[in-house]
Amino acid sequence: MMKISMFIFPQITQRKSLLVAAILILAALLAVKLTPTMHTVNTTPDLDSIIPVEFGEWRQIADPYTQVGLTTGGNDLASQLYDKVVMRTYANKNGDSVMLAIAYAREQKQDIKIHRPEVCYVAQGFKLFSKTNNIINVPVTKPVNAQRLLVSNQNRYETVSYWVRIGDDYPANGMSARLKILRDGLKGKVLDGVLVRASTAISDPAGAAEAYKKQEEFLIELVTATKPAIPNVLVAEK
Amino acid sequence: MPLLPLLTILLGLLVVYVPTFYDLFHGIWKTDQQAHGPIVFAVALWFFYYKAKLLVSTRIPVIPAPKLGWPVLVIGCVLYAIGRSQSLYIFEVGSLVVVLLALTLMFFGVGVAKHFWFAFFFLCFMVPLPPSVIDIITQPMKMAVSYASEHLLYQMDYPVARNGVIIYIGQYQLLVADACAGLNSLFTLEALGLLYMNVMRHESPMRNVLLATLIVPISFASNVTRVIVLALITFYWGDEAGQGFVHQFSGMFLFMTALMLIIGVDSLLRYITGKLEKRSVVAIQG
Repeated sequence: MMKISMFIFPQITQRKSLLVAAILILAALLAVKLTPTMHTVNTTPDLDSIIPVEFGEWRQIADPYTQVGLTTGGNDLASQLYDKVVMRTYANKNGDSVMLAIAYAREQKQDIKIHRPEVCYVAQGFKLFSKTNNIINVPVTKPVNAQRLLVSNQNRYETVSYWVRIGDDYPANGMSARLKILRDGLKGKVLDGVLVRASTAISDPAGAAEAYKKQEEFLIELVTATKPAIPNVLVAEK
Repeated sequence: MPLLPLLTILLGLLVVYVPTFYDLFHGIWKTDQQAHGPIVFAVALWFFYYKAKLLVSTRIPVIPAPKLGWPVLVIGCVLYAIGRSQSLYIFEVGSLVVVLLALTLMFFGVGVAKHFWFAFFFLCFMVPLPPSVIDIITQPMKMAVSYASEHLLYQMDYPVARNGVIIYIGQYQLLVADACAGLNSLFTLEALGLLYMNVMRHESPMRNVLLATLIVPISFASNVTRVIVLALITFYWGDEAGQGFVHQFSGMFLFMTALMLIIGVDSLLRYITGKLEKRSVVAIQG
């Protein structure tokens, strides 16, 4: 005798199932079609040799501090995220020093993109006191939308001036970076990206304004000095 | 029951999701932050099966809802195409939930979809959240876990110090990473806990609510346990041993600790509610 169950498996016609499969396969094809392939940049610039050891009034010196890392994790993550990293310290003849960190990546994707300093510093035990927007007017290119941070850990305060360039834009936060990558990605473009970060350790937050000013001068000179060799790596093209 | 239509649909699903799962298993699911992914996926599959078996004995009528199913299917497919092409996992993996829901609606109807609601909900925990979202939400949890771990180790007379989420023990330093305090592990544990309750089918709603709330401190406690175990392994056997532990066992260890705590707390709650009920029965009889 057959056991009667209350549940009756519905009839699914071959016509319907074919339509479902067709829609699914169409989605797979559409995904392939929409995958961005146009790289805006084809080669990774050799920043180690391009960034001069001396420019304007600034000259590279031996690093007195270990700089705060460029990711929320360790070095493995940095090599996964960035194609090129430069970390140096520069000083002028007055004895002002600025730490420079540049991280360049040829491809920016939703899951692999530049880590922002406000996240990295906090992940590495710093407290974030302030983040303010600061437009830097660089004579040789269009204004750069930069950010200023004041952070501290138990040993020191640090002032940070940085920008993140993704393609031709300077997104001010993680969300606008994502939207930028998504918008251009749907047009088929794979954007490159760079983090340019200048930082100074200070003992008293009262000195922050002075430090930011020095960093801004430093960054303007850096961009001006490297503009002929790499017109659109540190900054977006005019 | 003709098999061919089912196989046709299965083929469509495989074409769409085999590449996704290939990427998940070879990429993000291998990272500490998302290591729970495959566990959640396996449990979700089992849960679908479990619910399907129950379905046979229920009186839920099958009233296909194609008018609802087709649009949902199209939405799922668009999500998939955008997510897959722009490497937005939240859309790409999330679309699986939408597509499965669409197929259920289309062929079985709203009643059956409701019967499976928890399975669909549980499947959402498999979707990898963007790292930036995890970073923002896990920061307070990481801080709290670091703080508690440092203090407990200090009470046990170990040479510890802490700077933010970095714990120093002896000559070593440990960064309390997302994996050690992850929102994802909290979410996943909450999901596992809810699943446990769903399967155990407790009568007492009070006990369910209590248990669901207690999962947060349980998750916290298991995270602290994991960090302390990791710190001690590093302290006694060196950095390499600690790292080895991180990459091989610590995720499992976390889940085992949490699961045991959940079962332990649940048994305790059952014991207490049992006692209370007995007492009230006695009171009524007396």
